[in-house]
Amino acid sequence: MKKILVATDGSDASLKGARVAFQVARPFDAAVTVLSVVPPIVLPGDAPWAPMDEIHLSELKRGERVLSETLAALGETALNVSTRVMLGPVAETITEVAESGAFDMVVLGSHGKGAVKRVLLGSVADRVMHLCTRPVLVVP
Amino acid sequence: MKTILVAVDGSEPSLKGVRAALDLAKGVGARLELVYVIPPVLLPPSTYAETIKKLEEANATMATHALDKAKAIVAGAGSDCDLITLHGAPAESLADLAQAERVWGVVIGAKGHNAVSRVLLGSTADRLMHICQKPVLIVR
Ligand SMILES: Nc1ncnc2c1ncn2[C@@H]1O[C@H](COP(=O)(O)OP(=O)(O)O)[C@@H](O)[C@H]1O
Ligand SMILES: [Mg+2]
Repeated sequence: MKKILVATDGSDASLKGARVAFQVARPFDAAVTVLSVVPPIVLPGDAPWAPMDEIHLSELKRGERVLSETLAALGETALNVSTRVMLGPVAETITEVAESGAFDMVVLGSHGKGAVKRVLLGSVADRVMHLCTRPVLVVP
Repeated sequence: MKTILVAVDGSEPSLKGVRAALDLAKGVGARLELVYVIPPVLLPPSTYAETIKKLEEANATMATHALDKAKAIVAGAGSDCDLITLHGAPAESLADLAQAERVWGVVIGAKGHNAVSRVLLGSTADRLMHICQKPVLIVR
């Protein structure tokens, strides 16, 4: 266990996932990467007048904020932790980062923000499960 | 002490799961319980008692064989574990057992013996993901 990837959207489940990732990393002194993916915003029609660059920039800032809030909630750690914000389709981007970086484990929350309690598994988690060839840990 | 259930069917992915479970157990401070689930066999009511007995014996032999192989991996890593055989639908049986207070989570191979190579996620792993209320690690 050398590299662990945690995908976070700021939800409670993903924060729990990050806690578990840190816990598992500790005895191995593994490096932890915390990733937040911002899905590209698609406007109805072509909307050629929309300031897409600006919109995406502010979305990326939101991703940064999710990451800093996550790290703050986890507190001090002696671990080697890095963060990444990316723009793209969420599940595909998480999978791409996990595979190209040869992570030993990908940790996800079972739900996202404002999740419907009735379903036990969120759509991003479900999709990563089916796409990713690295070990995936889903934390409720 | 918490335990981690490892679903073992003797297939290569499930044995990889045992190795991953050892790492996870070290991280969260748990011990392993290796679980083999014997699925119900649907037989016509006219089936000879002798045939049923033979099938049951074959199942028991397969369970012992799979659990012994998995236990050897755990022993090789200098750890100890418990062996459990259950009867029922595999995903449901694992999810039920995972409800126990002592259980931290479940490790399962993405595919077992009878998965089509085209699919990345077998039906037992897929189903477990959707019904289990504890963390689930899927290993490939
Ligand atoms: N934009 C995102 N960036 C990074 N990780 C994400 C993102 N969205 C979801 N995730 C990860 O996937 C987990 C499950 O969320 P998701 O499948 O989207 O559930 P829901 O469908 O309830 O929103 C989250 O806890 C988080 O770990
Ligand atoms: Mg979501």
